[in-house]
Amino acid sequence: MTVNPVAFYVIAVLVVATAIAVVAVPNIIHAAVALIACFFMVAALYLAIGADFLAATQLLIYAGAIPVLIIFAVMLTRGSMRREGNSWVRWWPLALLVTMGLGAVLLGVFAVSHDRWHRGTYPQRLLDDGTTRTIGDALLNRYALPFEVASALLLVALVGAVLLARRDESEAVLERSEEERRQREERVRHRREERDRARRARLRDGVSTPDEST
Amino acid sequence: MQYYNLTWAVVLVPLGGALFAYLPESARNAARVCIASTAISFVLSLLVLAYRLGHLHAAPYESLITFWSFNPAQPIGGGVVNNFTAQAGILVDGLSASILPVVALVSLLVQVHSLGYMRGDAGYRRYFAIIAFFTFSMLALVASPNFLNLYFAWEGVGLGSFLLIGHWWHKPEAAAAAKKAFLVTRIGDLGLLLAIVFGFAKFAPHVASLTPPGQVSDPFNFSVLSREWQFAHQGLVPGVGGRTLAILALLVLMGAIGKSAQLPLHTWLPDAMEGPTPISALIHAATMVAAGVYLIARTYPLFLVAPHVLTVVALIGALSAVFGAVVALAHTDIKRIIAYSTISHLGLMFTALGVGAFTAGVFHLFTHAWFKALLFLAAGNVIQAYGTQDIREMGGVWSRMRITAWAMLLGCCSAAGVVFFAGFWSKDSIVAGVLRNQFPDGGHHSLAVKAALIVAVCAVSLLGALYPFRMFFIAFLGDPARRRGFTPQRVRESPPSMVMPVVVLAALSCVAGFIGISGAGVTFGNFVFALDKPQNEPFDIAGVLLGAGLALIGVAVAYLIWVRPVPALARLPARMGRLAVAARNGFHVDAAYAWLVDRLVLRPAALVPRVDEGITDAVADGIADGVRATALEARRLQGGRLQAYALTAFVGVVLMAGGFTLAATGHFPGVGATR
Amino acid sequence: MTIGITHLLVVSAALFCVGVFGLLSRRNAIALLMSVELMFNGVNVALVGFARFGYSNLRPLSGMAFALFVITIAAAEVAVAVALLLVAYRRHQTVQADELDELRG
Repeated sequence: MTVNPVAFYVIAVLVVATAIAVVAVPNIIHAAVALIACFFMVAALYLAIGADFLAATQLLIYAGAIPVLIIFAVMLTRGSMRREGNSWVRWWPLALLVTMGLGAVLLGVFAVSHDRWHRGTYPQRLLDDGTTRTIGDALLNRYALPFEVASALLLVALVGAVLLARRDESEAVLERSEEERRQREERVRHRREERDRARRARLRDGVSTPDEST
Repeated sequence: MQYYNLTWAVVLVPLGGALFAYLPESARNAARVCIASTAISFVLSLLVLAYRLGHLHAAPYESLITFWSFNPAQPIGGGVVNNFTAQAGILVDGLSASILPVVALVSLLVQVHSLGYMRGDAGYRRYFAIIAFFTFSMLALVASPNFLNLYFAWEGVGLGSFLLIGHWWHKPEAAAAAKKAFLVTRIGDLGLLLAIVFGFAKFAPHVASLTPPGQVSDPFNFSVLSREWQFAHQGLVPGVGGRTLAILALLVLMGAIGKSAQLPLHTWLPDAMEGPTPISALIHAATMVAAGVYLIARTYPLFLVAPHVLTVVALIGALSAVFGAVVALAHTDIKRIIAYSTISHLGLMFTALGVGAFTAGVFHLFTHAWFKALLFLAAGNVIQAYGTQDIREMGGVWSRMRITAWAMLLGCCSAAGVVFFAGFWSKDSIVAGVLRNQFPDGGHHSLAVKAALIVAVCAVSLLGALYPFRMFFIAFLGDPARRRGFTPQRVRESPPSMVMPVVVLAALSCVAGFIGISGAGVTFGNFVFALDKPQNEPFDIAGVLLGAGLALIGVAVAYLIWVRPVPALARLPARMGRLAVAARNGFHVDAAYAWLVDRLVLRPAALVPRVDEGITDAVADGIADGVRATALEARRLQGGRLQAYALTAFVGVVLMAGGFTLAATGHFPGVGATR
Repeated sequence: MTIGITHLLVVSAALFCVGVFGLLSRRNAIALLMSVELMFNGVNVALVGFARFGYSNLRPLSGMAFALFVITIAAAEVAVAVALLLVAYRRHQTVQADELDELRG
């Protein structure tokens, strides 16, 4: 019925620690490894509170499939990483501040509403037999439609990802013209910035000398 | 009665001519359409006049079309506009019946004359179409049964004169003259409009209260208003006293002054000489300037109950008469001489109306139309033949253009008031009227006013004979002037289309005055008088002797100065040097107006742009600059940085979620639920 | 003290906030992707927690079913996002989020 507090606390601390590692480690590969560890820890957390099916799914998809994709992405974009400078944006303290504010709000919400949530006893049956049957029951009865829609979504995502990532003949041409366009735009942007600067300067000076109309 | 409805045709046929002038292929045929329409109008107006003469004592006939009616059940305008009907229509009484043929005939003759005068002009079709429209406007004005109708026609006349004076719009002087005529008369028009509105506000409730339910009440109608003015004079109309009547009369007078070119709104008339000469004849004889006198004649019952305004009318008229005569005497431009003579003669009409000699005033309007049209058309012939308007550069017309010269001589005799010519009868009845100072209520002018009027009229009688003959003697009898590029031998008589109208008008100038003699139980006076009671203006031998004598003296003096110079008299013009220069410049009235406008309008107006630039523009520019500057800054928010957007979004999430939480826990008083 | 829903929610909030911080502060777009995954996990922890400690016989383990949907969608998201990243990398030769600013106003 109850959850072992020691196990829970240990796992929770590890979950948060590995998560922090994901965002705090400069090297992207290290961060990916930390992410895998974090997913493992979340799976452990699920196990600890008696959500066995979720734990298995977490391991399969989160700890297995998604990191693979991410590592692929990292490897395919290695060219970028070589000239990568700082890992964090300049204004990360501001981001930290906002994040802390968000955390404070979340905790505040929990604090003011924790006694209003529905609390139900988790039946021993689920702890004994596992949750798979019940979840399956829910997915194929009550949530059959979202379940089917999810499969369609996966298909669409699959097709879309392939379409997006494919490099075809026209794209080479496109890239060349794109490069020219970018250079042209660079020039235009440069000119525009010059003009804006001049206009701002004129605006600043223009207030005191209203003789433009005469 | 059915004959009276022909007046509709009299008025509308020229309008049709104006509209259809653009149908024919050739401009010549367009002119024929306009002339034919005016001729039809003239013949029909003669029929109406004849019928009216045959039914002298019948009440005035009105035919009205209602084009707007306010429902009495739903009063608007605070109840002022209650049971009121706006009507268009015709009014046939002695006054309108006798003026309609004059207008139509003068217009007809002017158009015939223009066939030759305007030959080859680029705007031939436009010219005739506008004359037809102009004629329509004046006929509608004369036949107007109410103020609304009259005002529309009045503005139509103003428009027509503007277009015709500016016929040669490519000449800057002509364009300026047209603009000036329009603007100056507009000052007077404002007075008339105010009079109409003010009179409506004052009289409409009373008129409505007198009208039986279910019947039309038209508080603009002249016959209704005549009755109302009489009631007001007797104190029977609530809220209307002598002062209101005086203000109304003054406002009407203002409109008349503007249209009839009386002092101080006369300045447009000499400048209007920039238009074609036949147009001058039309404007001066029948259509434009006559409208002012006609307006006063039409609203005469109002002036009768506002006697002090009549004094103003008389004084303005006398001043204009003397002024016009003096300036005409000094000018050397033949058209301007005649133009100032118009001011003078209209001044005489005003004087006559002002002293209560109503018949004399209207009679002079009638005779003046003939000889003034004659003078202008004959002058037009001469101007075309000689290619100049300066009388000193003419000379010798007599031997080369015999018919025109004879006609001009007759016209000058008539204008001067030589015995038995048309001008004699009317002018001398004005002199007689002023001597008698015959006012219906026994005369009200002070002695000084009476004396001033008599002196003025005598002076005008003398000068009025002097200046036409000065013009005639210098231009027609003098030696042919020598100018470069001008050979007097080439001068010959004008084509028939230009001579015929002159001959007709010359004949009329000789005989038209005999209408003034009472005969067959009908007098011109009791025919045209707008009031019900006939006016008795006996043939006054003293006035006639005085006027005729002065006129003959004037002619003789002119003869002795310019034809057979008598040294004592011939030196007079040279002695008048400075006065003559001042007179030739119209006594600098134009310059004074220019100075006044500059001081009162243009200089303050020059400040307005500064306000516009300093405040309005500054605000507008400031807003625009502010928007632009804000936008320049704001676009930096759109940095394209994904994380900046995300950061902003999360700040929003934090604020909203925090705010909702605080509200839900009752931290904001009055917002959200409490536990 | 027994472990209850509050404990799980705190863990969930911590995961979510760490993810948000990573999303806002990392420059590498792949790191942003990882941060988003952390946020998904934070939400999932909360859902599972509700399913576990707010059990209802009426709709048993609905929270876990939701968590499964979240996992599904996360998988789809990662696939599409990685494809997009590759395209962006091919076009701009970078995956630094602050350099991909073509939409700059």
